[in-house]
Amino acid sequence: MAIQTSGAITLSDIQTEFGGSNPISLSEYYAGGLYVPSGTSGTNGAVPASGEIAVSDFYGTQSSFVCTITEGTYSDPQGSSRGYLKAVTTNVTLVVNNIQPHGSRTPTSLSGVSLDGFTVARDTKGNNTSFYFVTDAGTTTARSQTVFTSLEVEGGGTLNLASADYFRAATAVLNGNVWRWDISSTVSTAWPTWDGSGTRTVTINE
Amino acid sequence: MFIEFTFVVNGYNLKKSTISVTYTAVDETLGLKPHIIQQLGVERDILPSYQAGEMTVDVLKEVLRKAIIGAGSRAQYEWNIEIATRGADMPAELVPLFGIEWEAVTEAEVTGNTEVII
Repeated sequence: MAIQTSGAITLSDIQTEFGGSNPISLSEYYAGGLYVPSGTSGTNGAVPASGEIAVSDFYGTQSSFVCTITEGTYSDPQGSSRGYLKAVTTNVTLVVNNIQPHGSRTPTSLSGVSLDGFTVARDTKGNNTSFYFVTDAGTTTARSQTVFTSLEVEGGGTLNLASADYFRAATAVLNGNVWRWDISSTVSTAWPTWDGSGTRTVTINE
Repeated sequence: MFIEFTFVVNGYNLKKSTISVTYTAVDETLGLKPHIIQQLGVERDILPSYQAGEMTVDVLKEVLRKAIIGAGSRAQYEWNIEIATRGADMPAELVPLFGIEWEAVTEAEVTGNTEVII
């Protein structure tokens, strides 16, 4: 969750967002340092990488978190999936029914949210391709729309929460929370690295 | 292409269970900048498990090394883009795009995806 865009903020607010330990020194929070990613910006522009730095530089900034996916594949006559997906056998929101688990991810959770799917899936019948982000697979846990604000997918660009289709199953036999982006128009050119092998990173902007 | 690299773990963020890692290309002649991941996620229970004596330092190092090498794909990706685009001339048709004010940004542009096809 981003730091507020105005009003009083403290060093503790910055530590809560970006991590770190006490005692808190603002000099620990230069962009490109131990805690704040390079290029981080907020309401007042970019967080400095050196020189003068102020608490106000952190208005509207947010933390990010890198998850690593070891890609796997699954396919059947209905479609195919490349990336990571936890076992979801009756997932009606994904294009491939009876999909089998494939791939893996590190870490398995973020702030208590189980990270259960990062996959490029193609629907053979509809001939469309989507990127799926799944949490809480196999549960009825409903996540608010504050788990993330955007995903930066290696080889695929930035996917914003605001433009995702969101699904949440109401029964325990189905999946938990699914966000879907239609990438049919860019998959052939912008997503070639998601080929079912090797590792990919996804940066989760909180 | 695969670019051989070394890495340094800059620190461990206990509160977030992340590590900060700097990846450096071994071949200095490539002229590539180090790639830093400030918050690489690792399993939340790794350090507590180590502190509880449930794993040796060698096992801990192995687990972290695996996570770091996996995320090294991001450095490879960025470095390869850098190499592929290095020295490329700016197409003449793009030059008029610079130094002028572009169209006003709409709300739809801000909230939608803005992937660039390359």
